[in-house]
This record gives sequence, structure tokens and C-alpha cells, in this order.
Amino acid sequence: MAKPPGQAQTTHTLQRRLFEAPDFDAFLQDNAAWMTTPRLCYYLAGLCREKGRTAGEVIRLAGLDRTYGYQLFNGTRKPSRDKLIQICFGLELSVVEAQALLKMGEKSPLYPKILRDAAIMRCLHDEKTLLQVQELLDRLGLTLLDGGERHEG
Amino acid sequence: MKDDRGDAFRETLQAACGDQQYPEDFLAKFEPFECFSHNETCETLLVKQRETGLFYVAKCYVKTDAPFRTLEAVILQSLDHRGLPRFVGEFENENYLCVVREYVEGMPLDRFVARCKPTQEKAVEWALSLCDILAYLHGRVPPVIHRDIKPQNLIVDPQGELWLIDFGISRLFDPSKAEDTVSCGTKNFSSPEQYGYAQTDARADLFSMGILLGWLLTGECKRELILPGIANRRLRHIVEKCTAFAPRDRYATAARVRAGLLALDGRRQRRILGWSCAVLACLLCLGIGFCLGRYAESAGFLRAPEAVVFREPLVEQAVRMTLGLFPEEPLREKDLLSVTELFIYGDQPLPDPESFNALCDKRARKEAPSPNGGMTSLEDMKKLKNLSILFVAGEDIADLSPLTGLVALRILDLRHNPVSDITPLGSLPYLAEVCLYGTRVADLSPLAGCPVLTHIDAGKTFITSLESLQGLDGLKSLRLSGAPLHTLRGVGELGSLERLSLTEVTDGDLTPMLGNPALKEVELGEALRPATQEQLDEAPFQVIYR
Repeated sequence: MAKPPGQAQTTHTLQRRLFEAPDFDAFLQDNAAWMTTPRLCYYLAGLCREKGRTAGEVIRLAGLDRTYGYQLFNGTRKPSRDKLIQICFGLELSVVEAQALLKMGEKSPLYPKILRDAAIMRCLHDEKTLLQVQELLDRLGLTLLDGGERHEG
Repeated sequence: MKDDRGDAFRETLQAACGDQQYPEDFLAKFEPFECFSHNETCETLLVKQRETGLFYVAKCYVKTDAPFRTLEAVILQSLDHRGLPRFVGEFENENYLCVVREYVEGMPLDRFVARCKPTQEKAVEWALSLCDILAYLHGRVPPVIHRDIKPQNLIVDPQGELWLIDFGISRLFDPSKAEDTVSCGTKNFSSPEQYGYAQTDARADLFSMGILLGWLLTGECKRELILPGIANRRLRHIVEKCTAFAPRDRYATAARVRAGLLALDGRRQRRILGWSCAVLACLLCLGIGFCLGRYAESAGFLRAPEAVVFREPLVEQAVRMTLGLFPEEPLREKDLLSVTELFIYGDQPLPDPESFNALCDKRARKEAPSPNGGMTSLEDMKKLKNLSILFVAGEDIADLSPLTGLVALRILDLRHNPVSDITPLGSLPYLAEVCLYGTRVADLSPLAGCPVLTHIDAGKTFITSLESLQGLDGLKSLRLSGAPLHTLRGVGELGSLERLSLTEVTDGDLTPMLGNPALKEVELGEALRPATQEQLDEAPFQVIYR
């Protein structure tokens, strides 16, 4: 099982797993996060298995477009930060797990001093659904998740 | 009811997250969206403008007891150059100072390079872009010195263009407190004088740029490791000269580094050009017509891209001299942004003010002939938007209107030109020194529009009175030798005047000079000696006769 980054992982354990895994793909799926060139899609696949969800279920719960969602899961597309946060809700991740996923996707972690991020963190903590977080954001007068493309000002 | 609950919840959440600590007017305009980075003194936020939905970057500085200087923001507001994010606004309360700028989508150079190691060509191309940006910044009045050039502060946008961010900030804040846990820290990119060995100037940025170029070429960020790692001898020399310990041993300006890099590029281009010509010639001989069509791109080497055409050949020669380009090398529109100084006397372009003055002296002593250069128009100057020093002497120029748009112009020398109307100079906000010696100017009143003017040389002109100089409170030096002055009335109004020179005053009254409190030195013509001895016997300033 892939553990979120932040916990110690020795080269030795990594090497042991490399030879214990049935094949290289399986090894990568679980351990990509520890490699020097981590692949987000392998990490996502590992999380899906850990949570006992299929990619299809996660995509539906994350409110993502099907085609787009599968492209994220097979690695042909890089998600935006908001899309990755949606996936956090699709996977019902804890705040710590969500921060790890954002880090893996090279996105800024949730920052509690920003009201929008604080609301998202609170919803993750309370195990709310995507719909519930969107409702809260709307009620607070904040931009919804994936509420508009990012344009340079 | 629901709304009440929403408000109450909002308040609780806001109180908990501390969002309200940001300035109220900042929050009214922008929704904080993401935190790119934060440390004890500063948070870099991505913010969304509520009205337009556009994204900007806000640097929010936590206020400490240290005094805040906001002058930097004023300078930043005036910057307008490709490669520098636009300044949007500044918001302040008792907790924070938030400086909002344009958001550049892209990746910091350190991350970009970690994924994709640049080729030598790419490294040189980026260094050239940085030279353009630095030439612009250093050519501002006063010069803007970044002092924190490092890969983390350079963004590569999706088009592959380089942007310099976070400038000026290092002057506002103590750079020793700067973050940096990344392998290539700020430390290696800072010049030795930034640690207090000497006063820092523009050459501190050139040092950082040298390290940056070396880092791009070798992956190392220590000078002693970089230099042996650069295979190309000429490139090694450029990096070595940029990163010399003593600032005086470095290149003097970003434009000179650029010239060095272009010379390197020029040689390579000529070689490619040579090969392309040979290949094309072979193809022609073989008569394979369609190949020419298919490989039309390689024929593109033969044409200079976006070639610039100058009206005056002398201006082109001077521009090439400044940029270090050979006559056959292509001159691109964007190269012209790096030209901040231009010196032409008669038929000769000159590399620097020293050679200009040396030639002036020779010609004044009649040791060298003074052929007129025959330039009639300044129209070409419109292309040189960042020009800060312009010397064009001994030509046939009468019309100054093309200078109107040169807002960065600081020093202007137009001696020995048939100029009579100087109205266009009144629109130059940074003009500090102007030489109109030997022109046909009779009225200096348009110069009242130049708030920072300190030096005027209007010798051998048709000036008859000083009354047209009203309002030039900052004027320190006024030269009127050989001008047919009728009276000195009005000279007392020039409260900062320290140096004055003249050779004749028709009404013979020199006493108005005594009204100038700051006057230190007066240079007078021999003809005025008797009048002086009579009237200025107890003058507090020094009198010299010529």
C-alpha cells in the first residue's frame, strides 16, 4: 500500500518491495510516490486500491467529466489544483492525505489562512461530499471548485 | 434564516482562518485563492479579481517593527517591459502590505530545468532575454537593481519566454532573511559586494546573471565549479567576466554582456549560413526545384528575421557599435530595447562618452577636422524606446519632435545642430542634463517642463535673457558663454544654482548674481573683469576668467 509522503521510507524497504512485487508495473503502482520521478497516475491508482474504489466511482464522486477523468487516471492529462481537490472528495481523503496528493501533483497545499482553502479543509475533515463543499463555498460567496478557468490578469 | 447561519458560520470560519487580517480594500477587490509560498515575513498568494475573474499574484508582507519604504512600489509602477509582470496595486493595513502584480502562468526556471536540461543554445537564449530585461531595469531613472536574480525568480511561460519576478522586493526587505531550502540557494547567486564588501550597483545583477548562465550550462552554482565545466571557451570567458570578484572587472552594462553573447551567436549563425548556402547551391545545381519549396525553411536562414531599417546610416552604425554587432549581422527589433546610450559626433559613431568628449576636445583645439555628419532627422530614435543618454553633435538636425516619446532620456547633447525650437524637450520627465551649445536656440522656456533638470549648456546660442528659466528650481549648472545676454535679471530665482558661466551682459549689471545663495563658482569672459572687480568684490563665490 502506498503511504502518503512525509513518513520515513528507506531505500532498503523500497528495494525489498521492488523484488517482492509480482511485476514492475505493480511495484510502480504502489511505490511511484517514493521514486525520484513520481507519476501522479500511479499514485492515484494506488489510492483507489487503498480506498477500495474504482477510477469510475472516484470520477463520478469527484464530479469530473468522464473522459477528462479517465485521462487524469491514465496519465495523459495533468489536473489543475481544483480538479485534484475534487478528486480528494471523490476518494474521501483526510486533510493529511489531500495535502499529500496535492504535493504529488505539484500543486500548492491547502493553506488554512485562505478562507476558501479553510472551508475545503473543514469539509474534508468532516467527510463532506463534493456537493456539500460546493454548497458551503457558494454560501460563503467564494468561487466554487473548478469555478472558472484560470486566466492571467 | 439560512443566510443568518451562513453569516455566522462565515464569521467563525474567518475568525479561525485569519483571512480578515489582510487589508479590507484588498479583500474587497480580490479573493485569495491559493498560497504559492509562505515564510515568517511574507506570503505569496494567487488571488482572483472579484470583478473580472482574472488572476493576479499578491505578495503579502507581514508588517514588523522595521520601517517600511514604499518608494519601491512607485518605481515598479513605472515599469513596462516584456518579461516583467505588470504592477497592479498596493494595499496596506496595520498587519500587512500587499503588493499585487500580474500573474504569469508558467514554471520557475529551477523546476523547468530539473525536468528538461537546456541545450547551450537555449541557455544563451535565456541569458539574452535576461540581458534585455536588465538593460531596461538598469536604464531606468533611478536605475532599478533587482539584487535577487536566481532560478526561482525566473518564470518560463508556456511560450518559452522568460519573465523576471519579485524585483525590488529585495531592497524593501532584508535579503539575508530570504527563504531557501532548495539545492541552489540564493547565496551562490548573490554577488560578493552584496555581503558588504562594496556598494552594490547594476553589476551585482550581472554577477548573478553570470552564475545563472553558468548554472544553466553546467548544473553547478558555485563559480569555482562552473568555470571548469564550460566547454565553450568564449562562453566561459563571458561567465568568468560576469562573475569577477571586483565589480570593476565585470562587464559595465547588461548591453555589453548581450553584445558578447550575440558575438558568440553571430559566429554560429554565420557558420550555419555558410552551410545553408552551400547546400542550397548544390540543390540548385542539381535542379531539384521542388526541394527548394519543401526546404523553404532552411532558406529562411538567408533572410534576417524582423530586420530593422534605419533612415540614417550613422544611427545604425552607432546602434551596432553599442550592441557589438558586425555590419553583416542581422539587427532585430527587440535588440533595440537594449540600446540605452548612443553617441554620434559628425561623421563618427562613438562607443562611450569618454571617446565623445575626447573627440570634442580635439575638434575644439582644431587638432581634428570637424566634418558634418549630414544627419537631418532624429526619426530613428523613436525605435530606441529605452534610450537614456543621447549625444548627437555636428549634424543638420532642426526638428526635435521625434524625441517626445523617449521618456527615459536623461542626458541629451545636441551641440552644433541648427536647432531653434526645443518645445519637444519639455515633455521629457527625467531629463537631467542638456547641451545646446552652438545651436540657434533663443528661448529656454520649454525646459520648465523638465522637473529634474540640473545642467544646461546653452553656450553660443541666441539666448538674451534668463527670464525664460523661471521654475527650474533644481538647476545647478548653467553655461551661457558666448550667448548675447542683455541682462542677468532673474538669475536670483534659480535658488539651487552652483555654477554659472557667461561672457557678456549688455547692461553691465552683475549684481543679480549676489542673490544666489548656493552659487560656488562663476566663470566670466575677460571683458567682464573690470565690471566684476567693481561689483563682485565681496562675492562669496569663486570667480574665474576665461
